Amino acid sequence: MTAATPGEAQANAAPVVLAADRVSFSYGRGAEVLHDVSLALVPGESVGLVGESGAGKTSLLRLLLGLGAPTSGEIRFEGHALDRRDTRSMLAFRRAVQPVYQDPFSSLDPRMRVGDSVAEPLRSLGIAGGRTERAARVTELLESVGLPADAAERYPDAFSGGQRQRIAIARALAPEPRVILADEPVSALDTSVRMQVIELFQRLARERGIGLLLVSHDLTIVAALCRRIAVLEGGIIVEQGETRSVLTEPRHPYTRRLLDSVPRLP
Amino acid sequence: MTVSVPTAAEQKPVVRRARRRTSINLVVGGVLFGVIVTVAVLSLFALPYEPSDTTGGRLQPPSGEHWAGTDRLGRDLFTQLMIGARLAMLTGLGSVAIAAVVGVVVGLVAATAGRWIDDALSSLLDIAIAFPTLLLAMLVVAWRGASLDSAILAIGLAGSAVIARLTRVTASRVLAQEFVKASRTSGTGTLRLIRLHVLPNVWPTLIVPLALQFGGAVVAEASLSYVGLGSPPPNASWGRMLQEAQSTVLVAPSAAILPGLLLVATIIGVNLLADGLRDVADPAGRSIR
Repeated sequence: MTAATPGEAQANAAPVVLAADRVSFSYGRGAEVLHDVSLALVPGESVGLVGESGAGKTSLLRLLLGLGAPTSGEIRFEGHALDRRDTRSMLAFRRAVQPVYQDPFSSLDPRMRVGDSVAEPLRSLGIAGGRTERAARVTELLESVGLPADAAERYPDAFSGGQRQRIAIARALAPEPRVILADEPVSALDTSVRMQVIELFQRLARERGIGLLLVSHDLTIVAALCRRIAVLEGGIIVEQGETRSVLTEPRHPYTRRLLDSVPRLP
Repeated sequence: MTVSVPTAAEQKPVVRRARRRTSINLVVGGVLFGVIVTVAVLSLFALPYEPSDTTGGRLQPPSGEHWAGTDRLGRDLFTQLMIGARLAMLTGLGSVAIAAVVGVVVGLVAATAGRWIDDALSSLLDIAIAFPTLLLAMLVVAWRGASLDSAILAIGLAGSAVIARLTRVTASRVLAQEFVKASRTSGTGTLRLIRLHVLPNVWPTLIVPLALQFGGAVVAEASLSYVGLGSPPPNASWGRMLQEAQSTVLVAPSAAILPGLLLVATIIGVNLLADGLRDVADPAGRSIR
């Protein structure tokens, strides 16, 4: 892949960090849960992945996070096929690609201080060396997601769902990733705090130029946050494109049905 | 009647309050157990009489000179009780340590290894749990000879099966949590992940069973000594004191009653302590759901 030069088409403006390239996947000898899926993530751009439960969203995310290998096709990181046995390249991969999980009540270890949870990627990925340096980074990270510095000394049980999700986001930000994969990051939260967390994602993506893959079944959230959208149904991406055009002129009947099923206030 | 519907804010309070109460169990258990431990430690430094000193006269009742009386060979019973406390503590500590190490390692291997190893280990554990402790102890004694070490080893191994099964179950539950996935994507390797996330979440569920095993181990050693499979003479185990006092129980009841009382006090103390520890070590808000 050549370096991008100004003036090129928008799609080529930034190099692709993470991509699924014609990926298929099945659990054991079962039926395929993903079939020939291709998806590319670019720094600074938010992509929404929508589809009903069972469509294969979480499976795709597992593969993109390097937690499993596709049955065919490949996950490409910076243009190279991801090799999960190559420890060195996995280290670079983990620094660049970070997740935010769905349930902030189970994605944080209840017996680990919040500061240690946020620092875990720093330690395990060998980023910030000394104890004081790490502590400073943790404070900075917690502040960037709107939490006080003394949160580091406390345990997750002292925080609400929204606050915990902020902690999880701070942890994801720790290694300064270029791409964040978020699996239904607000569906476990109260409606009142959803928008705050969404706005946080928006701000971080804008300020830090992070590419975001937002998995959600909630089209309102995707419409608010993502410029591009991919619709997954039965393991196949049935439609992909600019959010505005997909949502206003859906071409695939499945997308139309998905749009119709969004509850509207009278 | 009005029914109030809780709002979202009420359902998820910002600060979850951990359940914490001053535990009477902890205090009573701590005092009982503390006394026995103190006596055991004291016995290392000072004893009222030499254990083999037979100058006290036979089967004397408790007196100012012999606080607990003497046995039928004229030895000081208080001295023997102190040594018995030391042996009991040694048995408890040793066998609980063996049960904890063996049990946790086997349980973690079963939880993290593949289906086949897990199934094989689980079946083995089922058999081991069904195996009577005393029978296992006799086998160990037959293999290594009767000694305190044999007793500790046998009791520890017998207890490790229960700990292993408990560890396997709890560890599997922990491993299914999203924070384990988050730890992997943070680049943490398996061994470090176990140390950082699995052990701290498994440990609190083991404290109480291990403390209970301490009490069980003391009784088991007493039983073994009673039937002559424990530490051989002249080591004065409470179990052997009971057995020796049996024939003279009508003439010198204190020789039988005192070791029995100490056994009971130790076990009640440890069990109460275990109960109290659970409340302190395991605040409700920090357990996984």
